Amino acid sequence: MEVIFPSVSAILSLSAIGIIFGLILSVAKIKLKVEKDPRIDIILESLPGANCGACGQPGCSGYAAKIVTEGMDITLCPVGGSDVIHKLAEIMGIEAVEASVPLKARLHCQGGSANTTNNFIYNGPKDCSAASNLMGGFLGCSFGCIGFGNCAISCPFDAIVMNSNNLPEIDPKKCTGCGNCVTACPRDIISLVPETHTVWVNCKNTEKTPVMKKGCSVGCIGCKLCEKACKEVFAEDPNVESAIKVENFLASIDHEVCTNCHKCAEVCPVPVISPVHKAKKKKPKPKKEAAAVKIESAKEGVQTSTEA
Amino acid sequence: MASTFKGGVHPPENKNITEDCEFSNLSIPGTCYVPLQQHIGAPAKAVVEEGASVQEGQLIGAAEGFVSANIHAPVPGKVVEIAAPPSGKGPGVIVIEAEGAFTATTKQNEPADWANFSKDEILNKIREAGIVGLGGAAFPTAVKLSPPPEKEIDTLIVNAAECEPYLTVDDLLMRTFPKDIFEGVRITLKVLGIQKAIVGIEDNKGKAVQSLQKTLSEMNIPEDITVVPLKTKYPQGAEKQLIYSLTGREVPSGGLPMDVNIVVQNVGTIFAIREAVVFNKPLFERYITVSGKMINKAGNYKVRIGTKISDIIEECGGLKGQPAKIVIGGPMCGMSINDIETPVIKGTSGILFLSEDEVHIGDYYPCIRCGKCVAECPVGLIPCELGNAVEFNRIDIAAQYDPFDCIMCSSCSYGCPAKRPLSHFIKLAQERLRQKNK
Repeated sequence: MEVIFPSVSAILSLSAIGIIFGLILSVAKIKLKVEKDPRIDIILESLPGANCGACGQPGCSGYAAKIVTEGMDITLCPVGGSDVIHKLAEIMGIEAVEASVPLKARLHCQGGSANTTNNFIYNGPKDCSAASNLMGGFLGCSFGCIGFGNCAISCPFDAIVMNSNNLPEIDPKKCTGCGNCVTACPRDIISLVPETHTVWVNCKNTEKTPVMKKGCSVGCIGCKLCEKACKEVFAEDPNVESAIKVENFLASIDHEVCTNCHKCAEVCPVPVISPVHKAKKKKPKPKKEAAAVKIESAKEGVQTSTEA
Repeated sequence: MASTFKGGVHPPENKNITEDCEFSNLSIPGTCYVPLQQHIGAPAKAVVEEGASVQEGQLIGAAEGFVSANIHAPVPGKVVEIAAPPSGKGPGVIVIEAEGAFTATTKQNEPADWANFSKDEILNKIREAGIVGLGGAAFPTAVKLSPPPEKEIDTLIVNAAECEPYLTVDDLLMRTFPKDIFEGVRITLKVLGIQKAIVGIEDNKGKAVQSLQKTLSEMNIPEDITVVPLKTKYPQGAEKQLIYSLTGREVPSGGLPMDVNIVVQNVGTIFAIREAVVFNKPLFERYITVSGKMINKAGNYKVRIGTKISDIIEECGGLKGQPAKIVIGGPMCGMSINDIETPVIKGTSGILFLSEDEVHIGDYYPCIRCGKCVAECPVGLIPCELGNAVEFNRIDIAAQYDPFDCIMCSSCSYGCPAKRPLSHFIKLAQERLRQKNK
């Protein structure tokens, strides 16, 4: 009995403590209940769940809470598109707004390791911002892509892959326009553009052309051919002079005005305006062939004359 | 047993290259490139216009704001242009073509009796002369010497450790001008209104310690100045480590030396303070070490601020071959440069032309978790964890390992067997966190 007694008292006292705390907790659960809007959970379920942060909130749950509690704009999720907007409008009981044109990330550089020179050997961390902060980067071009792939790492949708030329390749099908890559890039060479805009400049270098040419062989040379071509397109429009303008030796397109006619891309001699026209690249070849034919014919002419 | 701190590394000293080279003057460059930002703080504002002719030592850039420093013409001549900096960003560069007479150096001023100057007069002279910390960080000295009234300073520490390999300029300064240095220490003590100064020197500079101790016993100085030899170990000359070695006081995380009632000045700065106060001479020239295996005539030289490194190469007998790295400052903390048109500025303590066997060029490898960096870190950080966290983009983890306490001494990078650029990783962590907290 003396041996059992202490254990009995322990069991009794512990279960008494358990029952008391259990009672306190159950009372507290009823008394201190936090009212949570059930719509938050429903909205969270209908959001894509990528937690990309494109809406500016910390993940989808943050956005769901903000929509319900603060009445935040329901069109901020670029990943979900119009489907999600309609769902959210239904849940919140407000009128659905048509989704704006989806944005796509676009790279404004075509240098890469093949076309640019290096100023020095870089041994530091393989990180774009670390390399960019070290004496303006090791690349010959202080505007171009460094190629360590901070953008690819930051993409939550695996839409960016670094290619063999150390340039990011953006898959427009996978890209949702969340803009994580834009903030990850220390050189500011990725921008978000509505997907309807099909023409863009593949360069950000504003240096004088000879300086730029030392570092990169495929940068914008500021020849203004594109501006000239564009002016011809808008010749009859009194309100618009040109949609593409060359400033600081760099062409830039005003997408508000641009009609996506691709005339600028066709005339670009580098070519640095995308989409690159293959026809343009092939053009010099026939010229050379023609010249060769001329020489041959001249030779034949000489031969014939000697024979004669 | 000489006093020291915990951690640290022992890189090859290589001081023997220039140890016994007496100071010699480099000839005045034909054109000087004087940047307007040579110090920590706001850049100076140009007060001369293009085409103006300037005297040697004339004010050409005026300090803007409290933490800033004046900039003076290193040579007499004509301001050819105020050019944009090579990087395209930040304040410009004043280009001066030398011509005319060297008034400041040819006319030897009578030494002024500084004992008659008041505290504010001396401080004003230091500020006017544009003196900044000459150890490398280039923090305006006048600001450092006027601590806020609530901080009571009781000790001045003269940083003569010169723990960076290769550099010998402070060593030679102490051997050549010991009297001037003690006079500078006394002037600085007067500004601070205190009596106690400690000069800390690494014990590999035996001659300098002897010379200072001998002069000290001869000079009969009323103030309490002591010369203390320290253990030779990098980074003995880092401010916080030096304070700990000499006084046992620990500067709190995120704090400054004045939080433990101490002001630290580099011995070169002390020398410049004396020149400014006694001879009214602004800071337009300084002593530097030119060293490394790839330079023909290594040595300690007196150069004008704004002398291009290409001019110095020419003066020093040219290069033996293509250097693998050109470093401004010491090899541990210095900046390697890729353009020899870079000018010497106030904070340039040395220029090193390093051969391939003196530097590491190549890739880095994954962390092997040996913990060498942890043992070597003088601040007690865990650099390997910081490095791994940054490499895998986990800034939230990096923030838990106190990257802002790093003193950027690069001991971790030096010791790492996997050759990881750990201090660079930590710097990246700091940048990322600053960006995030904006």
